[in-house]
Amino acid sequence: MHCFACQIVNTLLRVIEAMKYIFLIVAVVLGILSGITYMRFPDQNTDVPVIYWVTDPNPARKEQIAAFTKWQLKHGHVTADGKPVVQIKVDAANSSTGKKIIQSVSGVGGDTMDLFNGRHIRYFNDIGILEDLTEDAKKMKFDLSQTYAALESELFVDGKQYAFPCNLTSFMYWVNKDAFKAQGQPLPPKSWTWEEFERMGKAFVGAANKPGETRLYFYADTVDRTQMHRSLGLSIFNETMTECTLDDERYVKTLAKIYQWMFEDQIIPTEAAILAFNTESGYAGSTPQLLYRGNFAMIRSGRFMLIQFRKFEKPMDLDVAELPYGEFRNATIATRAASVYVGGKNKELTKLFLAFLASEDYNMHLVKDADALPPNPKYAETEEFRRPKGHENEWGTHERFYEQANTIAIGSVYSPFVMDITVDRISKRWYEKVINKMSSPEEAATMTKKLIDREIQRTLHEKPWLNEDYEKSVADQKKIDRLKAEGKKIPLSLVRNSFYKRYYKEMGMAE
Amino acid sequence: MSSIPKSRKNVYTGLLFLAPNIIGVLLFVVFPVVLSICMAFTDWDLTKNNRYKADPDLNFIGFENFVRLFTEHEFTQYFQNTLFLMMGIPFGMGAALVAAILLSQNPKSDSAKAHKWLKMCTFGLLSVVLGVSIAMLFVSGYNGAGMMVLLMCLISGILMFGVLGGNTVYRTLFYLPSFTAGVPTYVLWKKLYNPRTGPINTTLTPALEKLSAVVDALPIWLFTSCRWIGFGLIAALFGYGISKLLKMWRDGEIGSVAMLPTMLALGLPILLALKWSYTAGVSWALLIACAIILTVLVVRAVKAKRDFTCAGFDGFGSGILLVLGLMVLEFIVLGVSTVLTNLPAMVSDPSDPGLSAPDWLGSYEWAKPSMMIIGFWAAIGSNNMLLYLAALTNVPKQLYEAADIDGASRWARFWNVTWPQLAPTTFFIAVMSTIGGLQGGFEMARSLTNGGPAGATTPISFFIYNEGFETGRLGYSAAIAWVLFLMIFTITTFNWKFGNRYVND
Repeated sequence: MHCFACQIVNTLLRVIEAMKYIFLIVAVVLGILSGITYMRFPDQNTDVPVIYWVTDPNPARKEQIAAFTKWQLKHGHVTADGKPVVQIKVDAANSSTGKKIIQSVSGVGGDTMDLFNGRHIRYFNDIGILEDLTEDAKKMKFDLSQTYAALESELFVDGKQYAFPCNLTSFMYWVNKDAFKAQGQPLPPKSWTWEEFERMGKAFVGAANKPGETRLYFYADTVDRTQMHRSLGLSIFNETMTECTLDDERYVKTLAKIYQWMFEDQIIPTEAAILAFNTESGYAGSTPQLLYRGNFAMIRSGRFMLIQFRKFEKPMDLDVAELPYGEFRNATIATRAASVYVGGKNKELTKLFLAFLASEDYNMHLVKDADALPPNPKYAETEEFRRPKGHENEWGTHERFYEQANTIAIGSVYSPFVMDITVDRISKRWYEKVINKMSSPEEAATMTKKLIDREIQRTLHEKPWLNEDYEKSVADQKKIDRLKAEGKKIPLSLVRNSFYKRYYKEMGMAE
Repeated sequence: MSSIPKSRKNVYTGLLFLAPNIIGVLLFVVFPVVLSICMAFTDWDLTKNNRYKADPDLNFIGFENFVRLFTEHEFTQYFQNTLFLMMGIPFGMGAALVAAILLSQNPKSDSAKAHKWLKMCTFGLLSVVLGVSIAMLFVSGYNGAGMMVLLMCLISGILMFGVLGGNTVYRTLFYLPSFTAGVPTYVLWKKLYNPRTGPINTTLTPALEKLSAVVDALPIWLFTSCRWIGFGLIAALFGYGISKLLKMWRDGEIGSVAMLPTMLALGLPILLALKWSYTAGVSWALLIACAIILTVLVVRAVKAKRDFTCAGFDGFGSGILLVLGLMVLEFIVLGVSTVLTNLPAMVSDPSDPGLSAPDWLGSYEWAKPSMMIIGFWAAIGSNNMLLYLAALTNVPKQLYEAADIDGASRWARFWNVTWPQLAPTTFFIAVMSTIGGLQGGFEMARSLTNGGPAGATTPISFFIYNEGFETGRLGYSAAIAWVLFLMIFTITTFNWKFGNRYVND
């Protein structure tokens, strides 16, 4: 027994003796592997700089990168030996907001990052990780004159440009004409009121579903809360963005209407029903399939949905309709915009990529592959855009997206005194309480306003330098309120809210 | 160099080998921990202070973050969510123990009797599974439940395979949730929970339809009486708990001070019944009944006087352990009786007639229990099961032999030998599960519900992430993290103080 124990001890000692060699071998192997990994970096395989584009994993990116290479060659952005001056690689693994922020503040952000709307642009700019592009945009021709005016609030902060759109979307209802024909129901008009939507929707679901059974067919997949309360002349903030104004009967009416359509009329599905349908996933989720199958007669989406529609074996007979309105016709507009990381090593070359986004080559590429609306509106006026060859079923829809973006679309409203993500979180939470029957629309409206206002005060406390601007805006608001009470016109110079600027103008209430 | 003594040289060599580890710990553990403590007392905000800010603005704000934390409704809700999800821990531990006991049986090497017993059980179970599957097919009209039948067949196959192949197969299968990556598992659960096409609801829907018809046919008084039966059971459980506690008090096993919180814990379900909208109107009767029981028992115990005495807070661990089990039972009885009482109203609800299968992840009421079920499933085949398995092999055989000589039944063998011998392991698992429960839930919430609906499934860990990176308030986020740490520390200390004593007893 004793000998056996000795043997074990001796073996262990020998193993320990050998450990230093094992450590050494492991260190050498790791060193070699690190070297190999480094040599395999994209930057090491090329003699031109490589920039990283943090974007979504859309298959269209591959072709867009190829188009960028061609564009460089075409426009003389080449090295001495005739190669493109820069290579671009897609980084789709780090496209979530959290990752972008963590990497950027750590000094390793992607050279160009796709940001969604003014919300992200404001947040990223607040952090200080976005390059001011105002001057270069003018020089290299990717300023606001090259895109839609409605995007100003999405791309600019305090008069400075921080991004240029990769594409943009103004949401409409995609209409499956076959689904309407199958139920013997009339197609929706180009624009319609809530009452028309409700009446036609009830008729459709009544015809499509068997009485007493679980509803499988809905008139539309969803509605847009913001567009709805805007259509009653109400924005989330007051004219000077100093206060939330959702404790208003118009917001209560909006919430009550959504609840009615969802639970009483059942013309739009509940969250549960949508979840129930979601057996398939993928880019854009399962809604295109559900429109194709006729479960939804209409889906709220952008032109980009055509990427999915074109994959279907049998082309759908398509049409589009505006989202229904209460009193004021309006639509929202959204963009996926490319920004430049302030800590990037190749900022000038990255700006070249943004110039490419404004070019004919890129825009016509978007025209062709239907990845939303091209950022430069002049390319939406071409015949290739309006009547794409081989896609006759889409004719008549493309220009409607363009028209909407150019006419009734209004950018989002961002208060400088509160973060938009917080506003969204609060309003969404109370909206969900209403549709989960945990709160009345009245209570939700009151609480949303109360909590957003509390966040405004919190921001002012945390960022005291905003107080001066806030006090001035409050004073302006008092003037506006007085003028409104007296029934007088409102000077637009006092109004900061982009929705009210347009609303007062269109309603003849602006001075 | 040669002047350096060999012992010192050895120390240097040792330190050199340890250096990578020490540097790693200092850099990636100690430094972030110290930094986060400092951050919690500042207004550190990504929008005000980071490497790209030319003029960083960072201020010491004392306890402001902590004060705000406790005055905000969000934190309270998310803390409650976390606690709710943790309610599954005792069940998970119990299931892990059962799994470990089952897996510790070896059909090949145990006695012929045990092998025969296992075979019989397996075949019995297989027959039941087959019978139930066929019944379900009939009920659902040969559709929908197909997936469930498939699952049943899979389970049956596994059972059969295990019986033939030995318990190594089972051990591997049971441990599967632990070495399967979280997100794919949650995606799979999402499919299972699908309200329309998921196998759970396709099985439940026809069964609930039948149940609706049965409920419709039965007289309403039958369901109304369930409430009073439930109240009676709760009162009986309450009375049993109080009498047990008083007996411990008389025997000097629990102190007078320790009695108060344990009694209060026993009364928690009654307090909930008073607040709950479904029971608030009638639960005064339960309150009165329990008050009478309490008064009678306490007066009788005080009159009888104590046989032995002990210090005021002694025996708290034993008392709370007893009470927790009874409290969970009371909650279950309250829930079941309330559901049964309201069944006719649910069936005849004009807006949604009949009983419908739950919208597991989409509804506010069901989202949390759905996540708890996943946690429970994961806990069965977790490291806890492995720990119990290891502990079971360490129980001295002599103790079982002694129990056999005394003629102990299987239950008596478990209760008097196995369970006490497993106490240190149970204690360790309870501590680790509590810590894990308070810290966890992030991955599940992010993959399944993104914290919704209406914040119903947002645990504290998810809240920390949101505040830190969605709004950039790193100071506030660090404060939440430290409050979480303090909670974990307090609970763990409490466990060590009382639970450990119970273990050593």
